[in-house]
Amino acid sequence: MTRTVELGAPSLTGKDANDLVAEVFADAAYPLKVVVQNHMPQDVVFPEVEGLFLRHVANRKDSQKTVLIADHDLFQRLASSVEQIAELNRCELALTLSEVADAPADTDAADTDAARKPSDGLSYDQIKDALKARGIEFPANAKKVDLAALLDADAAANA
Amino acid sequence: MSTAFVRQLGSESGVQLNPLRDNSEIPTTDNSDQVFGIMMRATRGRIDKPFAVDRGNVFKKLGSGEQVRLSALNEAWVHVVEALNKGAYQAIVQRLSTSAASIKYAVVAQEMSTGENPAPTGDFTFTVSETLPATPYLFAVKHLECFNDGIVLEFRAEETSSGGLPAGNDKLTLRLRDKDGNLLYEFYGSLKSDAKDDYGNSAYLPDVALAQTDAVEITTGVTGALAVIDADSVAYGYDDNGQQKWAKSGTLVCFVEGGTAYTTQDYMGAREKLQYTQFDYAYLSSGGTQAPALLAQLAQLAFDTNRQLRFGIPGNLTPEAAVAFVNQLNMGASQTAHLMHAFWAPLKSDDPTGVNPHGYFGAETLNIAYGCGRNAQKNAKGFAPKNYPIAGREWPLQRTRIVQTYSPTNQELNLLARAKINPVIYETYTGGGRYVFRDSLTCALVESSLKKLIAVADMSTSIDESVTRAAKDFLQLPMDVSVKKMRDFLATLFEGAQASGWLVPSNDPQMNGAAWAYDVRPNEQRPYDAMDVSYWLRYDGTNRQTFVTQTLTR
Repeated sequence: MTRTVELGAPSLTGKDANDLVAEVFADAAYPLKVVVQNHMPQDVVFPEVEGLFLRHVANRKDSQKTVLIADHDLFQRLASSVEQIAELNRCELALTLSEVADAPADTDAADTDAARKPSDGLSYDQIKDALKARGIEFPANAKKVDLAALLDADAAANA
Repeated sequence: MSTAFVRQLGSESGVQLNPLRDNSEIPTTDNSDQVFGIMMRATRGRIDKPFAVDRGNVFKKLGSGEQVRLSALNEAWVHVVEALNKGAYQAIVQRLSTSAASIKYAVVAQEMSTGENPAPTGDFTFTVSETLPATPYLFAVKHLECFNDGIVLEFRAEETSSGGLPAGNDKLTLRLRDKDGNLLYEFYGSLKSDAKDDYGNSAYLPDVALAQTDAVEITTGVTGALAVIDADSVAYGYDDNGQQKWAKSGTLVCFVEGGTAYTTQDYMGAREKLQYTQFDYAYLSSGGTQAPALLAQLAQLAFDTNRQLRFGIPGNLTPEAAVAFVNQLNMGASQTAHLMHAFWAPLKSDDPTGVNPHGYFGAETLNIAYGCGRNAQKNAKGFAPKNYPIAGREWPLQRTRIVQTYSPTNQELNLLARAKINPVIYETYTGGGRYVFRDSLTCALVESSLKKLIAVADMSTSIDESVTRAAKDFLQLPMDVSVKKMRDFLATLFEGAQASGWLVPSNDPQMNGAAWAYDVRPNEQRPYDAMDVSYWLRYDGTNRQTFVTQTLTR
């Protein structure tokens, strides 16, 4: 089952964000892939998590992003920051974080995984973020196919 | 020697000499404006209260640093070390910790033989324990400086004799070292609680340690005849080669950091400790933190203490994301928004400490360091050139292999300025280009006001600090004396400020062309115990924009 947590200002929700995260993601395995949805009327950025820059809630496309949370401590620090920003801006519901469910297992899963490239299904920005996360430098105006090739080659080299 | 006076004369004839009366004292400022405060994760340092580090002891007190690739929190260590080497006199550090952090005891006990009748083997055991053991132990050490990498204990007792034979000695020398063997503390004391030194002071080991430092707590776990180092032990006397025999532990990791999952309460706790510390500081640094939660607490601390907060926006963010980062903190809404100064440095460089690979390192603490160095250069009237902001041509980034990863357009620079963000980027000047603090704006949401300038924030906080410090000195004096002293002080202070170029004549009609004015009087409602001090100052501004026009004439 996909785990989801809604974070907001504790003074309005009556719930501590750290407690909520600890409760909902108690047995989560890290690194954890989550989809983050911004519900606030303003852009927000949480640089603690690579690439977590979300547009305001009215921007349906860019107010949501999939990010990778490296460990439990980072998740807790993120919760502290979200809580603080929500409190400063008086938002009862600031962000929703939902775990990305793994693909259902089937008999061909191994074959599918082997054929699947790391860049498959990622947007241009997500590929750039992934390259940055791996410390790979690339030209600012590079095309998506070139960036995808870089990412896949690096993944293959490290496999 | 016969004195010609007495201190208190009765009815007899004589001379009474009263204690020297000192009216010569001039209120002065200390060097706290060369010191900055910071809340940070570190691998060494006490967690119960702030402590001061300088360039001489930073490695000993904060450790040797860990790489940023392990945790982004480690950037703060780079900031502190760089700042101390580039102008800051001291850093007042409050180490961040969670409720899971725990300090354990290093317990030293005599090793006992196994069997039906256990007896001391002459060796010692060194263990780490959450609590003091119930079984007898020689002594236990609690090291409050919380080294993640552990400590090493070593101790020995000198030879003594009784009736011509070697006898156990209750006095021992105890040394604490870090894992690399650097000496931290050395104590010489007794295991017996009633021991005295030659001057009659307590020589009990826990008392000796307490008299020397508050960072080490020692308890003893033996009494009476057992409270000695036996003559046949490995920590007694000398070996066959005449060398001192020391009982030495391995590395004892007595501190468990408990992770870095800092909650808002953890940040708040650190903020309060930094607010109520006895150490003084003029600046607050964010230390490259990427945590809005920590920044929000620092902003609150800046408000509470009237200290300037300089914070960095991660250099890997785009200008739009940088603006969002500042806007979400809503700093402009603060009454003291002029105390908050944002810097965005899209620059990769070598790590100034050499611990990390080429990467992003914020420039806000370096800006503070330059400011601290500038503040050390006081003129004859005691004023530093704070009217010169740390920005522009004269303050290039002293780092190597700097690479600018983002070149903002003019429109983006405009966006950043409107969001009150100071870019740290490459600029060309006479004599060559350099990476500089391009602007000096505070976060105050004003357009044409002195409040928008960092130089004015620097000068006004300095004046506030001097005035409030003097006002505190003049508390509990007769009202008339207090008013007179305050007036004299303000006149001297403001004359000095004007002579130093901080203040310039005002064009406000109420100021009558003066650069400063003040009013000190007993409070109208409460004239017996309250005094009102008000002052009006016209600070000099900073030229941020120059408009040049050339006109061709016939």
